[in-house]
Amino acid sequence: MNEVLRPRTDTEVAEAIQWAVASETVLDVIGGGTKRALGHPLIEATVLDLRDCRGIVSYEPAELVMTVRAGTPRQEVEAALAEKNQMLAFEPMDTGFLLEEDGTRQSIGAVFACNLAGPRRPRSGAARDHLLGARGVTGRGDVFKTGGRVVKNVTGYDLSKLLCGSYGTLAVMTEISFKVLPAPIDLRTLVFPCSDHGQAARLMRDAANTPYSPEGLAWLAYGIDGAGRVLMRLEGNTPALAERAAALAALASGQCRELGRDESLTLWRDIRDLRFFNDPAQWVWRITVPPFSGPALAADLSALVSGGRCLADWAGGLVWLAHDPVGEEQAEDLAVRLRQHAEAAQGGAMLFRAPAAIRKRVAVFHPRPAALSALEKRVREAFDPKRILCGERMGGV
Amino acid sequence: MKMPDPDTAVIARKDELAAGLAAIIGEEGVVTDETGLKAFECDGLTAYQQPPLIAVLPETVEQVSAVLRYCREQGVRIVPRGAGTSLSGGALPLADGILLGMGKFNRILQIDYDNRLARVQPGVTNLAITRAVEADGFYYAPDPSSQIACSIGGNIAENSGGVHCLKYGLTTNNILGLECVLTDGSVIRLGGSHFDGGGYDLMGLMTGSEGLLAVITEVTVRLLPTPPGARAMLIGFDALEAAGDCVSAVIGEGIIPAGMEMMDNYAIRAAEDFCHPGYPTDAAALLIVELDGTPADIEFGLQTVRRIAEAHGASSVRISESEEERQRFWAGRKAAFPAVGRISPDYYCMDGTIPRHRLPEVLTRMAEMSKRFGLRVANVFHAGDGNLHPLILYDANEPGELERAEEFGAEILKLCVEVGGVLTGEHGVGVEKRDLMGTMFSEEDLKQQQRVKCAFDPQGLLNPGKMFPVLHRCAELGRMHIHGGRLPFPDIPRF
Repeated sequence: MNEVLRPRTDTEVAEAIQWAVASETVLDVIGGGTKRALGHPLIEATVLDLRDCRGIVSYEPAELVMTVRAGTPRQEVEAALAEKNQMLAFEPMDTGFLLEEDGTRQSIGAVFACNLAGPRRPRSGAARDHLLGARGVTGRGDVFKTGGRVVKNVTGYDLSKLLCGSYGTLAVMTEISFKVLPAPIDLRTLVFPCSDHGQAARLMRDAANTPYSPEGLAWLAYGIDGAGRVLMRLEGNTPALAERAAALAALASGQCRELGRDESLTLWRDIRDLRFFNDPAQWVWRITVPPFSGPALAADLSALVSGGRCLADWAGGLVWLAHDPVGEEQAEDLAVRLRQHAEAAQGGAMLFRAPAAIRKRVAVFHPRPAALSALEKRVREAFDPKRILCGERMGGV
Repeated sequence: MKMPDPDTAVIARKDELAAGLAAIIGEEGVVTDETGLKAFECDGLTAYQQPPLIAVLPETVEQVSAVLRYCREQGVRIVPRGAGTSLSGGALPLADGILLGMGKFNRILQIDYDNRLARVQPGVTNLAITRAVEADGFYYAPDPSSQIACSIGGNIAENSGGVHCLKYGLTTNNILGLECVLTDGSVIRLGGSHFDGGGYDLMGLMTGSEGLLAVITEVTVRLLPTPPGARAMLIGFDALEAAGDCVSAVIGEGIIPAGMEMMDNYAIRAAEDFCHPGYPTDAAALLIVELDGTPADIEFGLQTVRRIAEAHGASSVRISESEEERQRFWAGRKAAFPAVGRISPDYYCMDGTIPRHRLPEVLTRMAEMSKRFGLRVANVFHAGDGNLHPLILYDANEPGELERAEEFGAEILKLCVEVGGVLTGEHGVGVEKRDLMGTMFSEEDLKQQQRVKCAFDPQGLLNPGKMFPVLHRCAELGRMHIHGGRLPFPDIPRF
């Protein structure tokens, strides 16, 4: 069992990091510890556990802004928001199901650090679009802040963007301010039978290109229970929903059925959290592409692997692929082939779930061109020159 | 405002540098004569003027790359410029620097409705993107007031907003990819034609970096389907406070209007006199609220906002009955700056953001300052997001008035920070607010930002003198002070 440090204040976080810098100890920075299986595995790391840096600092519903300590459980944040009919509009994925962790333990800091947005992403943005500011400690051990607590701010570099999606490798966030939005008054889902990838791509494009554009557009394709189907989620006030539903149903000559509020809530949670991928032995890839090419890529990749199961969220722009495991020797080759296909579609692929031995060997994040990779390394160095924050979790950057 | 000391050795080499640059991009792309350089001497912050040493107008990415490499070899500073509409002096030239004008990058390269995006060169104007796609039912959402003139590259540099950003976001929320050139000449692509591809979000970092990190040579923007309709409301109030409360209540009820603007009586009357939009000139505050979407959406929004406004004691409520009338409602707001310009020889536009509930207090204190400085102030704000645009009226021909206006402006921005807001909501820091950065950020905060700059531009050649009050050398910033390896945290709980 690795040593665990549980700082309570910014100063204690800074002290822990300064010690780690001096002793060249890698810190595995965690909130609830539910996302440790993402990225490259960290070996020989001391755990820096932020669970005691918790609590809602301020919440002004009419300002649409909340400030919290980074170790606050996501659940606590969402419960406070729900009381005021508000929400995290980027609908962050709960990776608990997929990674077999207790999702209720996840921290809000990790939600932002991993930047994994759910189905509402194309309409409402990702975590990166909602983080307004942060306090934290760099890998140099210096306490700093960036951004502010208001929704409109261009003062100085937007370092908040860097922190989102950095998987803890640049700085330890201790307090964050983010934008929240009103929760929809009502919602429903249209379900269109559709097994053909070309038809799915066209239907999702046509829906996204109308002014009635849904707040969720996904294709459940290969190996997901039941026949293929395109799903459209509509959110808003009740009379407008009927109007939009009619316009969207007409795209497929009315060939669809409608799900009400409760069924919709469950269905879109399942899509967000990939509850369709219920074989824990399977590996999972997260592939981002221009949306119109997503369904074809999904079809393509499913044919390339054995036991392939696929769904395309974000109108096709986010393809999730699950498949049966392959041997360590074949893993690199498989990654190369999958990535060739993703690149041909102008996208990239992240190995999202696989045993640690595989994530040690195969590049988890999509490899970047040399000049970009060199720049990313210099950015890492600007925050964490000794590479002690989450070590090689993001690979060589 | 003090700019970095010009390097006289560089200035003395003007002819040699011009020849070197002409060898890269041809003589027609290099401007060295006084008259030609005068065109670049300022941007939208006209109080500051400085012709560049040389202006360079490249046409291709290869040329930008070669020019930057050449400047790095020669140790010459570079100021990038789009359309030159910055209100914070972001494109103010340097006496010893190259002005890199991106105006020739003016082509729309690709429009892709299948993926709802457009790939454009940075010199394309903001409005030109919407003009190119609107017949097909699409638009580019951010709409800064200068959209007819400002370039998309400049929008990225400043992370521009506009009246509709409450609902549709700023520039940073509406772009997918960038191509940019570093000072070592390397060309990098960030993002792409899809969302959230992983790796550090350098595209997000570049957006709003004010030309200090890299030169943008291509932008991929998101296109949105045009809403089927929009209607606007004019709501008058007898007190600014009631108008502010109404704004909070609308948002509190879950309505995010497409736009929600507030004007004070001074701005209302100036706008009414200027273009007669039909504003209630006796109101202390006017809200312009726009609802867009499908007919049912709009109707629902209008009724909800009307109910809330009446509950907050609105003195008048008017709803646009035609597209023509909606445009007229907005015309006054959009012309607020020139309208104020007509009643005063000069005006100075500020741009702070505050938490909205502090508005009454901020306005009261601003009125006190107005008396103290002896300068009038008109207020227009993006009420939905707390972004204030106080317009300070002055006369540059009166000795000392410009200085007084600047001092007044600085006081307003410090007040914004004091109540929990920020120095700039959408106009950028530039030279204008550079020396105020210390009111919002600690020395360490600013050093961390500069360390990031060093990762892009280790020689500090890109746009120096903007954003940071003190420039540190990268070597100095990189130094670590290690605390001797002892365990300095006996009190941290361990498990």
